[in-house]
Order: sequence, then C-alpha cells, then structure tokens
Amino acid sequence: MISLYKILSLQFEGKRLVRPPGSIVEEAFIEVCIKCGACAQKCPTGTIVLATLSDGFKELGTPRIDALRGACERIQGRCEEDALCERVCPTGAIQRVDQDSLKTGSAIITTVRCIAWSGGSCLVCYEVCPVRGAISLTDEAHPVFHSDLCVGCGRCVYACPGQPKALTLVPDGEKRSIPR
Amino acid sequence: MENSKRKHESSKTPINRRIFLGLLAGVAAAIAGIISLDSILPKNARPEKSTLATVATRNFTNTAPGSGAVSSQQDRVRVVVVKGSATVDPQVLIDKALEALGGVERLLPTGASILVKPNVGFYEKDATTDPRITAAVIGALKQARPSKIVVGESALRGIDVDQALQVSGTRNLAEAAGAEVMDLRKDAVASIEVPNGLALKSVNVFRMARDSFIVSVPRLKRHAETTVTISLKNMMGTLPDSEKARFHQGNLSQCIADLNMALRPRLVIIDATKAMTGRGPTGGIMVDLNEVFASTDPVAADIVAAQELFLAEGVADARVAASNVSHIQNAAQLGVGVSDPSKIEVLRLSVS
Repeated sequence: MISLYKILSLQFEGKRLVRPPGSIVEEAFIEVCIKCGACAQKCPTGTIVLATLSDGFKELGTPRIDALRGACERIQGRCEEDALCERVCPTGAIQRVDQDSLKTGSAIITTVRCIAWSGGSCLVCYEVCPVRGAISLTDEAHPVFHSDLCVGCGRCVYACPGQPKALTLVPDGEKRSIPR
Repeated sequence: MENSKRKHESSKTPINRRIFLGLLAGVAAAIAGIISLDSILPKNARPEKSTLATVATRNFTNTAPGSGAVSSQQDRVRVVVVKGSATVDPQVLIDKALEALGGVERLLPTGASILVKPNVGFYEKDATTDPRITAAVIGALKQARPSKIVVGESALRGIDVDQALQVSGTRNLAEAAGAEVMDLRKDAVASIEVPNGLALKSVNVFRMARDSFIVSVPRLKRHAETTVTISLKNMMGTLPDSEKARFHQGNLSQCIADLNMALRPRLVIIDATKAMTGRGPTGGIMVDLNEVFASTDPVAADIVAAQELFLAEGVADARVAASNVSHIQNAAQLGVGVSDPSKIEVLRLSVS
C-alpha cells in the first residue's frame, strides 16, 4: 500500500541542496529537521532560505544555502566563533562543525560566462575568497577553482558581477555531521 | 398647479446620482494613480541627477598655490612622504604631512561636509587602512572646522560593512575621534556626470560622496586586477554594488579614471605604515614601510606610492612599472592629475 507521502515524494522529486554548515546526513536531516525556520531567521547574511516545493516534497520547508542571497560566514565573519544556525537549531539537524572540517559544497565556474576568462578585468571571486589557494590564477590572470580546498561558503558566487553569473554553488564534496 | 410646481422642481434637481459617483471614482483613481507612481518606483531606480557644475567645480578648485590642483601650470604638484617608525604616533605623521601641504585650513574650506574614505572593504585587518591612521586624519581635519566628518565605506559585495568596521577597529577609533561612521550602502544613490569620460557618461555614487569633500585614505597594496590599489582605486568604495559590477563588466581601468574625474578626492592620505606586497588586495606579504603619503593630486600620489611599493618588492625598474599602471595612466590622460615626474615634487620628511 503506497502512502500519499510516497506518492507526493515521487511526484515532486528532491533536488540535491546545499545545506547549512554542520548539517547531518541527508536522510536523517529530512526526518530530524522540523522546518521551524529558526536557522533562516538567525542567519546574519540571509543566505539560508527554506526550500520550496520545486526543491522536492520531502525537502519542502527545510533550510538550504542560497549563494545568490548571501555567503556563509562560518569560515570568516560573524559566525567564526560558532554558526548561529547551529546554535539556534532545536533538533540537532544542524550540529557544530569546526572550521577545518567545514565543507558545505563547492563553487564551480562556467568559464564562458566569466569576465576574466573572456579577457575582461575582473577577479572579484579571487579577492573575496576567504580560503587561501581555493582560487588560483593562471598566468593570464584567469581564476581556477580548487574544490579540494573550497569550503563552499558561496562568497565568490554572491560577488560575481557576471550577467549571468559565471559561478554556482553545488553540494559536491560536502561534509555532513553524524547524527547524535 | 401641482404639475407645473413639480416640473419646476425637477429642472432644479441636482446632478444625476450615477454621473456624480462616476466622476468621484474617476478623480479618486487619478489621484491614486499619481500617488502610486511615486511610491511604486524604488528610490534607487531613479537616482537624482546632478549637473557637472556642482560636483566638478568643488573638486577642481585650486586651494593654495603649489598645493596641486589640476590646472596648475608653473607650479609642480607636491606629494609629501613622511617616514616614521613603529613607535611614532600616527597623529604626528599625519600632522606633519598636512602641514607640508600648506595646512588643513588651506586644503579645506571652513564648514565643509567631509567624507573620509578609508579602505575598510575586507574582514582581513592587513587589507584595510590602519584605524589609527583614519583616526589621526579625523583629528587633523577638525582644524578646518568642518560642519561634519563622516567615515564611510561600502565594501566588496558580500562583505558586511558594519562587521568590517568592527573587526578592523575603525568604528571604535573613528567615533572616539569625533566622526560619524556610516555604511554607505544605506545611503541614497545619485547619478553624476563624468566630464569627458571615455568609458562612462555618468556614474551612480552614494549621495554622501556627491555632497562631501572627499578625503581618500587608502592602504598601499598590490592588486591582482589593477596592479596596485591606492587612492584612485579606493574611490570605488563610493559606488553601489550594481555600479561596481558595471565597472568590472567594462574597461575597469578606464572606469576608475572616469570615476575620479567625476568625483575627485580633495585630499589623499595613503596609509603605507604597512604595505601589501607580492599579491593583493588580500593575502599578500606585509612590509613595514612606516610611511604616509599625502597630496591634493591623487594621480601624483598614486604614482609616487606605487613606485615605493615596487621598490620595496625589488622590482627591476620601479619608476617604469609605476608609470605603466593602466588606471593611473588613464587618469593622467583624462586630466584627473599629473603623472609626469618632472611635474611632481616629492617632499620627503621624517619623524623620529
């Protein structure tokens, strides 16, 4: 007997979302998160938003990082001491993560959209990146992205002046916490 | 008798009820339409326009002879370099520099509204102007008896200005020195014309920048895109994010030159107490130069300071390298200031 939940989950297929830093593994996250939205409210940069139906039925109302709205400051900025989202999460869906174990995802570049790669004068991504070496420059001053060092803060994505942006933030390489 | 009376009364009846209600609705709709037009359009989408006259004449007026305005023909433009040490009070450096330019009262009119624009664009302390220098500049400017001094910054997109002002120590020291401290992003935006602009006809800037005498207080640094970032590049902090993006989408060096033509700083004081070498605007190697540069000509100041930076790095021909910096060249060609060494007088002083 297939439940309504199952049917709706199949109808609105879940997308892979970039989760707040320290989020537990996805299957547990979906169950543990009560969709209260406190993390989104508390986030100082406004990067955490709540997923909509287009993000998936099971995912609806859960928090995700949207780099088009802001960057995660766990690595540098107002959440350096501890992540405000983790502090306020009532269920433990988001747990404490150290800066050295931090990785919400990776920034990836579409070079055909990049002003620098097209010969123009822009290296804003390189300027704002808080992790030394995550973005390097070729001899022609074109930015190259190193996902092994990238923590997925999204600051480069937010700052990119390309129209459309040359950068996106994806959950690739993300590190999740073990649910307690 | 009755009939004629009734007829007479009906010719005096007031306007038809339907017509009256229709007129009322029409007038109400017209008023609502006019009001909504004004409130629907967001403020920033309709920046105020300023004419060339108001902004440019203020910025290009000669102050004292030899103090370095654009139109100076016989007199050379002066760039003062004051060298101190780690133990010298920054106020002493700043005071000495401004004295050598003729004194603050000569550089700024009384009652001026001043915008002090340090570099507070990053969360990294090394990448920003030393807050003690900013505070010392405020202290010195008070002698010109300004109507107000505002320290303002807009920072790179994605950097929170209040956070940057906090971690750099700028907010505390600047407020203690008696200035207001402002996140320029909260200000309204105005459009100003660029006289003889090559990349831009007009530029959107924060209103505080348009309406104030600007004192540009950058930190001397290398820059991955523009080779160096000094007082000319520092002026990008007067732009809203959308305008910064436009600069990067076009010819950045020319846009920087054009911006400085429209919004020329009245005075520049370069924080070279520490300078960033090797790479920038973040992550470079800091060297202690213990110097400040000051001038009323941002082009001259930048080219002299750039040369100093390259010397510190051990670049082969520092003078040629400095003159090759694109945005400095563009600014000189446009007439923002002077880059020809024979027209620049470098006055070196030291304080112990």
